[in-house]
This record gives sequence, C-alpha cells and structure tokens, in this order.
Amino acid sequence: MKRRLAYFSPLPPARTGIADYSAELLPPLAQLANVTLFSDEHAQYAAGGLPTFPPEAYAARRGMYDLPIYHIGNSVFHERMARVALRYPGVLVLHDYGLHQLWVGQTLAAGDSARYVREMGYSRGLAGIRWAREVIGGRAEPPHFEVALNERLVAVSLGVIVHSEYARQLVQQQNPQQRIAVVPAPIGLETASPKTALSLRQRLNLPPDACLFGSFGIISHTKQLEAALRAFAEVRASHPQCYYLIAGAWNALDVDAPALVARLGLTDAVKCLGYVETLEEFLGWLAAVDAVINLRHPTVGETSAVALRALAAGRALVVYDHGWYAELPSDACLKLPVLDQAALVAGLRRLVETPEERVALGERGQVYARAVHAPAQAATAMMGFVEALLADLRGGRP
Amino acid sequence: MDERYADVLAAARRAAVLREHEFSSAVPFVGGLIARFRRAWNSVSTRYYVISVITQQMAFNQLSVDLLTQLGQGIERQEGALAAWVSQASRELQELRARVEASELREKELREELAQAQTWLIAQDRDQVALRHDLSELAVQLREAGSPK
Repeated sequence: MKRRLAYFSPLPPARTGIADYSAELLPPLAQLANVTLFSDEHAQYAAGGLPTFPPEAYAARRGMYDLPIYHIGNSVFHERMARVALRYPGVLVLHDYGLHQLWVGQTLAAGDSARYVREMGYSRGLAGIRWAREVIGGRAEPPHFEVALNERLVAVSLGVIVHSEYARQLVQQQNPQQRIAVVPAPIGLETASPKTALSLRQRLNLPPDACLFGSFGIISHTKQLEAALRAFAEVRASHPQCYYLIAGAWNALDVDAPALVARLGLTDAVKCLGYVETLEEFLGWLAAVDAVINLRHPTVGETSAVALRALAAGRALVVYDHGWYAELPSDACLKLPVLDQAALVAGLRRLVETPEERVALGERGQVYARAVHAPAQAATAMMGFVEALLADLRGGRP
Repeated sequence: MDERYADVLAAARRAAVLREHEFSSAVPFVGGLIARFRRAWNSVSTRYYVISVITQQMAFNQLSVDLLTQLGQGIERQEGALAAWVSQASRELQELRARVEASELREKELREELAQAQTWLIAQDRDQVALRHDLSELAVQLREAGSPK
C-alpha cells in the first residue's frame, strides 16, 4: 500500500529553484506514494494531476496523511509552509542551511520585531536577544550568514533531509538527536538539442570560434558576478573570442548587472538576458554556453540547482571549493579556492585554451549528474528515509 | 543689604541736603561789616536764583537717594529670594540625585529580572518545541498502529 504524503513546496510558476526542483521530483515520487500538494501556487499548478491545496488547508486534512514533507529554503516562498511545519511537524527538507532571510521576511519585514527577538533568543540565548535589539534599533544588519535561524524548525521536525554532507554535518552538530538523511538533489536530465543551442548562439551573433561563458539563476551579491566578470575581462584581453551570458533576474539594489558590465567596459562582450521565463528556454541557453560559472560566497549550505543543471547539460562547470560544491567530484567540475581571483583567471584561461579538456570536463559532469542526481533516484532515497523514519517511530526510540 | 552699599547710601543721604553759604570775614574790626555787605550784596545779586537752584537740586538729590534706597531694598529682597531659590534647588538636586541613583539601581534589577524572564521564556519555547515534536511523533505512531500492515 502506498504511503500518503502531504507535500509542501513552492511550485511553478514561482520564481525559485525549489519550485523547479519539485516539478522534477514529483513525477517519480508520485509513482512511489500518494502525494497531495500544499503550496502557495495551488491555484496555478496543475501538472501531474495531483490534488493541490493551500498550505493552511493541511490543518483540517492532516489525519489523511502518513507524513507531511516540508521543503524549506531561505526565501519568502516558504513563509506560509514554514508556519504549518512549526505547527504540524513532519519531515523537513532543508534546502538552505541558513534560513535567516526567511525569518526576517516573516518577522521584521512584517512589522513583528518581537518574534524576531524571540527567534534570535531561541537560536543564541540572551546574546541573540541583544543582537536582535541592535538589528531592530538600526545599529546592526541582520546576521544573515552568522545566525542560521533554523534551530526551531530542525528541532521540531521528525526528520531532516539535506542535500549535502556539508549540510548534514551542520545539522548534526546543532542537533545530534535529530534523524538526518542526505538525499541527492534531483535534477532533470533532459537537455536542449544541439540545434536549439546553435540557434540561440546565432541569436547572439557570435563568431564561429567563440567561447561563451555563462552565469545562470538569480543574480545576487553572493554569486560573485563581479569577480567572474573581472576574471573574464582579464582572459578576454588575450582571447577576444570570449563572450559572457548572464541569464537570470537581478535586483538592481543588490547587483545591477548591466551597470556592472558597463563599469567594467564589457558591454560588447557580455549579454544580459534577465529572467528566463521557461525551463525549456533556460535549458536552451544552458546548452548554448561552453562553460557555466557558478560561484557562491558566502555559502549558506545551499545546493545549487543551477550547478546541477549545468552538470546535467554537460557544460563545464566552475565553482568555489567549499560547502556543498566541495562534495562534487573533482573530475566533474573545476573547483577553485574561494575568492582566489588569480586561480579564477587561470581556470577560465585553461577552459578557453583547451576546448577538448573543457568538453571532457562537461561530459564527466554529465555522467556524474545522471548517476547521482536523477529524479527517480532522489524520489527513491526520499521514500527510503520516510519508511525508515516511520519504522523508527513504530519501534519507538530510546 | 551690603554694608558698603549702606555706607555709600548714608553718605549720599547726608550730602543730599544743600545749605546757603554763611558769609563771614576774618578782617579785624570791619569783618562784621564786610560780612553784612556780602550778605546784602548776595541777597540783591545772587540769592533769588541760587535759592531756586538749591531747591531743585535738593529735590533731585532726594529723589535720587530715595531711588537708590529703593534699589538697594530691591536688591536685598532679590538676594534673599535668590538665596532661598539656591537653597531649594540644592535640596531638589540632592533629591534628584538620590532618585537617579535609586532608578539606576532599579533599572539594573529590572534588567536582571528581564534577563531571567527571557531565559525562562527561551526555555519554555524550547520545551514547547520539544513537546510539539513529541506530539507529532505520537500522532504518527498512533496512525501507524491503526493502519493496516
């Protein structure tokens, strides 16, 4: 008999990687369990024909499910489901170890500073309360990277799924009693056709021997776009056939991508696409580039869907060697020391100068993505954890 | 009133009254005649307007002395009021100082109480989370126990 799961997650068209993640995971998961969706996008998402409700509807329906599964990331897309997760705990899928931004959205941004103080107190005791008062008084910035603010969710949950050993260790250090599983993040293995990729490259009017780098996904200051573009500019000085594509939305108050490109004198070499509306088009652009630069610093213990998509698409991938990224096989991507600009320049130069090595790197990345991150495998691993958790509860725990 | 000011005022009061000059002569035998002549000549040529000037000057002097007396008395009253105010302010300052010290002590006590209350609330919060976790486990266990194998 199939398990009945209440599945909480942002869903397309929500502009978050976790919505796409769920869209990838749900088809194989629905083969293994009876899944009911609870999402802010309950009225918009119809793929798969699964029953879909708003998150708050779970309270009245909770007796109908074996377990709720909550996908929580560090963004406003998870506010409503986080409230339900605290009230009716279940399995927490922790997409980002740090959830400070999520709590700031729920508390300070909503005018509820008392709750922010409470949350900081829960996390850091009296020192946290004093820190929160400094933030509220405008004397300090919210410590997004210093205080994860995930302690309450982790403690209340029946089990925690993370996508990296890095995140597992962090959760275990914080809460040694908690049941934790590392489940590889699922990623769609479909790729755009070479014809589509070629057609998109032609749209950019690139020379035939062009080497096109790309940065994908939401552009924020943590994505280190300036470092990437500065390294690119240095390489392009001796390799004028290099070009750069930026495919993702940016917040001009955080990173104004076109202004940055202009400031670095790269207007002729860099194309800013902005937000790419469909996954199909996104995959097309991913296939059109020769290498994906996916830097992140600091890391909040996230697993990068963009990095996984780049691997699945067979693109050479460049990352900083820390957090989850450090767990990627060293022969499947180019891992560089964090914030080491000289290493970044050297790495990009090597990718330009050795196209055969670049292609081989992408191929090895694709093999890895297919072997480890196929959605069916992730669904099986997730259900394995659910069954183990239920068995553990049936047997009781000391 | 200030002693020096009182002396000056007494001198001014004495000097305020003008008197007609008494003519005299030290000349032997005819001195009395000379003096009488001077008086007579003075009463003819000078006295009629000098008396008037003296009268005006004495009136002015009297007014000035009266005014200085009033000013002195005013100053004396103000000095008394000022001394009383300073004394009162000094007492109030002492009271305020004592109250500030007491408030600071109370604030310190309240901060300690607040820290204790916050510590207690954090502990309650953690207990509540643990209870919610346990209740959820129990709910799952009940469901599992009731579901067909």
